Amino acid sequence: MTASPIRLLLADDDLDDSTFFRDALADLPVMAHLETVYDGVELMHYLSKNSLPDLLFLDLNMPRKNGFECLAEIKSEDGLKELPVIIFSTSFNPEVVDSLYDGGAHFYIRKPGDFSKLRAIIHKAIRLGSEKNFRRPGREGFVLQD
Amino acid sequence: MYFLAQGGEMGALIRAKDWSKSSLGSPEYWPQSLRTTLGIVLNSRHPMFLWWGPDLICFYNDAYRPSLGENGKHPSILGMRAEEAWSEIWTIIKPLIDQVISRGEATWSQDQLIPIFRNGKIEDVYWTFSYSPVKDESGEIAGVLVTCSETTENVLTRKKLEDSERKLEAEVHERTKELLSLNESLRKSENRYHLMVEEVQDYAILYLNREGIVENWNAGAEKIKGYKAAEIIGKNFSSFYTAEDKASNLPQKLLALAVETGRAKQEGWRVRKDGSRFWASVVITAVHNEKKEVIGFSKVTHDLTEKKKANDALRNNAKELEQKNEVLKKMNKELESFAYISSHDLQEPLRKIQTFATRIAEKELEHLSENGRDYFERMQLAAARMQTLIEDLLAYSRTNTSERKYQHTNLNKIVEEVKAELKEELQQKHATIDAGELCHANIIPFQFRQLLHNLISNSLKFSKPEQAPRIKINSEIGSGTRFGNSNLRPSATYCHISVSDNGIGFEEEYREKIFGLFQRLHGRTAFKGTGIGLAIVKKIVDNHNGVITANSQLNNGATFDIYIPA
Repeated sequence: MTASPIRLLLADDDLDDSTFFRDALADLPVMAHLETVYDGVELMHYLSKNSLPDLLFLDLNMPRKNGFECLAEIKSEDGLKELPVIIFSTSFNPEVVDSLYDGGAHFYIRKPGDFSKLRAIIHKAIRLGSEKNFRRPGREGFVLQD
Repeated sequence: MYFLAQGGEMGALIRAKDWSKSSLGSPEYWPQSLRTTLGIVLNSRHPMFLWWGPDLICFYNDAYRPSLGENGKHPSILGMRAEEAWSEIWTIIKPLIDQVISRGEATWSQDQLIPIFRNGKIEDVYWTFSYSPVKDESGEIAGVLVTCSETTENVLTRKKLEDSERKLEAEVHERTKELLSLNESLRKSENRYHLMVEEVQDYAILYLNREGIVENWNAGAEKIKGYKAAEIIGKNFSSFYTAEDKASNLPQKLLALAVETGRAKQEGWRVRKDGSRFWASVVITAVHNEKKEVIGFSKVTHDLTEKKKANDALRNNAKELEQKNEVLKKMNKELESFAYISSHDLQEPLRKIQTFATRIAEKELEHLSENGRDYFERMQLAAARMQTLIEDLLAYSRTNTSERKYQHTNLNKIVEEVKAELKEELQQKHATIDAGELCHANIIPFQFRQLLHNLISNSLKFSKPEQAPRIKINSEIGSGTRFGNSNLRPSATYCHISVSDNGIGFEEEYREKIFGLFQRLHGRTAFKGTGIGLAIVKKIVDNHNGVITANSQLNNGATFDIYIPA
């Protein structure tokens, strides 16, 4: 019995990063379907027009509408707020991480500079996200480490 | 007996009296001289008394009778012998009587006190009287005539007057003495005023009358305002004011204020005799009499021109300083955000380099030549170093920008936290940290933790290869003078923390250089590191307004002494 492929949505304006994600995903023994949007406005538009993906990987620094605003909108809208959001960012500021946890995100991933590490962490995120009864972790488990 | 006719009451008494026992015998046998004399006496309205014969028998007239008073010699002494009749004063009058009889010369006594028994007591009576001889037919002195009048009232009045006069004179004398002495003190007081006020040069001290006319002028006034006393006394003090102040009635307003509240103070421009202006500080005080009415004003003026100039310059300087400070603050902020942003923005392309490199290393490494592989690896190492550099730079800029939240903290707690952070490395190197009982200090906890982390990290890194690193941390509290560091304020209290190790140390000549940004004493191959660790330590010490010094000898460990205001 084959499980249906997990539907992933990536919101990231950086072309290199979206290439890395796609390449890493291709390496993984995971059946996944990946859509990419390139800024916050496009993201919200996509979400309003399509059925919810299983996981959203959300970059913070995007033009027009950034990740913080998108998270706030998603978590306040009926029909969108059940969408698990995994923050995918380059920076690491403890205060920012705290506020994102309070904002309702499921995980925080700091983009590693090592490709294999990147791949591993994406794998972990997808594995956890596919589990039955996938729930938001406590604050200690919020930042995903490989 | 015609000589006894009339003669008043006394005449009647003489006629009625029984003279048979007396040495004179009865009146019909009295000699003519006696009869004549008696006739004169009895008919005179002037008080008279007569002593006749060797016994000096007493006769007197009606005019004399009142002098005998009641309850006294009347009428008993009529016909009595003088010695008997005047026993109480015989010693006084006998010499006078004898004088008359023996020398035949009349006496004259004025306002003489001759007491007399009358009205039941001896009374002090003053008499003006004359004793004169009366000759008989043979030409011998047979009697003494007394003409007298009581002058007691006059005498007493005169005495009273004299007493009054004397008292008055004494009082006048006293009063004059008083006045003289008062005058003297007044003179001294005025003198003192003159000396006190006149000679003062730095303050113009004037006296104005109720209308503001200058009545007194001192040396200071001449110096400050330029007028000589003669030129200004009698003129109104409004001459010292500027045209604008005169137009707005400032002089009168100040006087009115002084009248109302006792005192008017003001700072402003005043005009000298030559027309030049000076900045004055003026106090006008109302002067009152005992009835609390204002009778004039004292005015003290101080020339503050120089002070004002200095003050204005100071204020300008302060303003300039503030402006410069604002500019500096702004520049600093820009610099800080630049450091932050650039290091943040630099991370992104670096990450890409690293990610692509690892991807290539995974997939394509076998396609490279050995040389190519070597170059590739070195490229990756260079990228990794850049990563560390940027992270260190970010850490450094963060020590600048973060808020300075001081907390009174137990330093042992911070040491424990750093030990936990470096647990693996400490274990790996078999290192020990001996921390004595450290003091509590006012620190920014997370910054101080960074400081200790960096120092201990260094001690571990720069340890002797064969020797287990031993790090000692101690603290004490003392005043600036105690620690012998010229950068400390002698009177302030500091918490002195020392971190020392037994590592490789460094040459004494580099003890200041090592705190420089990106300063390293060794090549990259010998020791890793960007050279930013101690720069961060120094920045943190600066943030705490403290001082740090490094002491070492090559191969003999290093000691870092930190002084933080307690």
